[in-house]
Amino acid sequence: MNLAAKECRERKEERRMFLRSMCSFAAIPFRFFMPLLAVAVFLGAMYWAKSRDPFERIWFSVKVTNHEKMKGVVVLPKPVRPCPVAVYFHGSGGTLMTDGNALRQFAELGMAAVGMEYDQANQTEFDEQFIALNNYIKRQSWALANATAWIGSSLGAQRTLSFVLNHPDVQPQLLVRLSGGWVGELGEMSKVQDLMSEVGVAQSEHRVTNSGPSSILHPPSSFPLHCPVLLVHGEKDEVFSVQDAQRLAVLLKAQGVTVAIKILPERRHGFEPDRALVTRLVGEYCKAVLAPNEPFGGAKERRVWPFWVYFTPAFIWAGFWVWQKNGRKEALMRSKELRSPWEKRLRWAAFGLAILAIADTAAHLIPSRLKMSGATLNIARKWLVPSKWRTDFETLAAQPIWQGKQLKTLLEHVELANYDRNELINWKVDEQIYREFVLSPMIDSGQENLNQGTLKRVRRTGEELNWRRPLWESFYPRVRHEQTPEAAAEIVARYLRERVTISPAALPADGIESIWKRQITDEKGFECIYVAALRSVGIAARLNATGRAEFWTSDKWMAAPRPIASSFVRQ
Amino acid sequence: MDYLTASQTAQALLLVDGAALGQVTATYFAGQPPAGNRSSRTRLILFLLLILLLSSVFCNGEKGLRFQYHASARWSGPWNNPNIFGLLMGVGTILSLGLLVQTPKAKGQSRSNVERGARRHSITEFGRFGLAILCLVAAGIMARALLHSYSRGAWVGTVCGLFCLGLQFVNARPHPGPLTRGEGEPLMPGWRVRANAFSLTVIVFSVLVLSFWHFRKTEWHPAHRAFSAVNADDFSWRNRVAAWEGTLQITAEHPWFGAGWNHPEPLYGQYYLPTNLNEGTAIEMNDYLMLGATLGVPALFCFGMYVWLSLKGGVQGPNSKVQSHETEWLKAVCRAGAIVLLVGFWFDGGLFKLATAAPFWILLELGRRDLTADEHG
Repeated sequence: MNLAAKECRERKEERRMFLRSMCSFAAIPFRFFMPLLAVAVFLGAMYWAKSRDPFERIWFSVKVTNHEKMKGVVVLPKPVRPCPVAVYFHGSGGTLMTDGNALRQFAELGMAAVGMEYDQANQTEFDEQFIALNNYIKRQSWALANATAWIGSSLGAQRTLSFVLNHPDVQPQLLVRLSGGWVGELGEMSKVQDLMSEVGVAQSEHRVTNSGPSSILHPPSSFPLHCPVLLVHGEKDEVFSVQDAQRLAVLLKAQGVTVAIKILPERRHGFEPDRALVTRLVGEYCKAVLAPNEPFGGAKERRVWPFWVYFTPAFIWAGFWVWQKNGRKEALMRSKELRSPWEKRLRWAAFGLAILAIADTAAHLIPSRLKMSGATLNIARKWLVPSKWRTDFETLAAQPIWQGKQLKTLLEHVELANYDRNELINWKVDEQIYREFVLSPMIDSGQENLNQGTLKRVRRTGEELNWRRPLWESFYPRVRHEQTPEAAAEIVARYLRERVTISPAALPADGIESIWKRQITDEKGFECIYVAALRSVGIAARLNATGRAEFWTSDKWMAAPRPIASSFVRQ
Repeated sequence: MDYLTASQTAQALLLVDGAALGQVTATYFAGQPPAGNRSSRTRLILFLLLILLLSSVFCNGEKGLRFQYHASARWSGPWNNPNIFGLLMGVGTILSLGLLVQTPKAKGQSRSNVERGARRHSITEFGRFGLAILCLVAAGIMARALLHSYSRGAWVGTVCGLFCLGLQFVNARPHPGPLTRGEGEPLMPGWRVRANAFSLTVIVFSVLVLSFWHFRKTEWHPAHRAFSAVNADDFSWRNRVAAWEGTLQITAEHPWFGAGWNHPEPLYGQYYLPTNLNEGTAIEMNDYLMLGATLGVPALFCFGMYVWLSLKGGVQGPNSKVQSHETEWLKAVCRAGAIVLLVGFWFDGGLFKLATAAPFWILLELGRRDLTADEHG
């Protein structure tokens, strides 16, 4: 028994000695503690930021046959898996530093987007670089075999077309030309002017598609280009005329190539201000052609570790340091004899103030997260709603739509609508119009004449009411300098279509929040979110009798501006 | 360093120039013989800096009224950015307060100088009184200018600088009684403040929280501006946070050598800018993360360690001597001024701008130099 007790004592003593040695090891002065803490925080922040990044970027360089290296970048959607490849070639003067937004747009749609820094002066050099790039892509695990689109813009379109005409053995599954012109290699292949007169192309034609080769044409096998082609051109292109694109479409059609041509009215060479929208439309088209069985079905929500997980090492380090520092703290500093009465009062004051601060914070934060009820509304009236919002708050609270919703949702509508109207926007909205068509979160408010289908769809979107903040955060920065609702509405329409795909295959049951998150909806859903987006930036909007968005121009209701195209994909 | 890209930017030049300027100032002005005059020279440099900063308050040309916050003009002095002006005013306020506290106390020191035959460097009593008044007036004017700059980064920086200065003041005070530890060692000065640090921190935080909840909708512009830093509807800080995140993502993808000079801005705008934002200029607001994204983590670590060791001091050699109270205080003032800028650089940038980089490096070097060790030697 004594032996066992002795062993136990010895073990305890060993443990104590070990802890003491650990403590002496950890007796780190402040000058070393802080840098280590800073390093832990920095690394934690870096990994946290990286985990929130929706893309994986691979910066690579490929050796070209003449021993020169070519730089490129791949933007991949997370999680990384084999996916169709969109290779993008910028126009003259472009660099990898100007390609990023287009590459991200393609990657957002579920494709691996590749950009390269190519030789803009020499076609032969370009051909060598492109072959090297193709070989590189073939070796990559993220590249889906036989699902590659080449997207050339301006000079990029010229180079890719020349390449494919000179290298018939290297073909993509889709060739897209943005503002591309005629190339010399085509000149000898046919008498295009004759073909144009035979086939006939109307100037106003927006889509030219060919289902198969025509009898008057060259045999398809003799033509070096076999893949489908999409031509997108601005009607007022000042660099390559729109006739060039039409001539090319006719030629390709004559050679049995499937061609779609989109001529964008009133747009110039760079498609401004619709460049980003055109990129989105092209991306959707590419995805539909390259992965017909898996078209863009909406963005998937990514789950990431919470913020605190990444900072745990820093917290542990700080806690450890405080613990060992306290162990060494001067006994005198803690001794009660040296505490003067004012120090005791100071501690009591700190305690009292801390309790007050916690209670005040809780009174502001907890009720707003509770479900709507008479009690929570009373708390909100008493504590949370400033007097200048009171009327709007009561107007919204009286609506029978808040069953099961958080009080926070109602408060956000009131706060942001007020903020927009009173401090941000540069146009006036009448009180009555404001209440019904800006403040109200119900898209169908005031509309009894909607047809049943639209009404049903609108009611479904009404089940999700917490849309104002996400839409406001995205749309307001873009319209902040606009002076009229008309100008702001155009920007809203354009950006909304940049972010939301219109597809009949989209789930019809989505509310506005879900549409915004998933980036896909059907026609009716698009109209609903369009109205919500307009309201989020302080433009009075509603659905008209046909279910289309319209907005208040300060004196009348007007059909809301439409994006330049709803889709390039044949529905 | 990629020469081609580095040659297209002034950032590299300003970083190196700023550091060199600090070294030169500390070595050739504060570090020149004859011994015994170095702390006077440091004081002289600080006064010159103070006068320069004070004069900038009155150079509110046409540019000065370009920036507004809720219809109130944001003062920007001769610079085209109210944040730079705010930061410099914060530095000026700290320097004037520091010199104001130090000036009367230097009396004893000057007497010793007289005894040592350095009469020509001593300042008359009248002069001292005049300087104290000048410091007081300068502190008031520059504090007002700081308030009217509506620069939140400068406000936070100044608060941090004041805190450091206050801490140094408390620590430097001779302790009143014969209190000793159990082992008979004397207590460190300022032990009572440190013993109650937790209570004081809790009180300050509680007051801040209570003020926020009760005055967040206030119409008084400075308070409105201060509380906007935690307002969910304020794009200014949200853009900054998004830029911090983007810069960290760039650093994570180029951890060793960074993306290179001039590259983080276009990279952020094209590859990392969140889709809901449309302006990427906020990336230029945080110099430290920008440095990490430009030159990589090792370079950022080196910079951080240099600054930390300058502020905290390295391991003292066996020949180092106890420094005089006056010199120690002057160094503390310089460090507090540098801390204002250090904090400001996190929120508003300035390490790559000559107006703020030059005073930062000078103050950092003056705060670091072991003047008295040489003095006694």
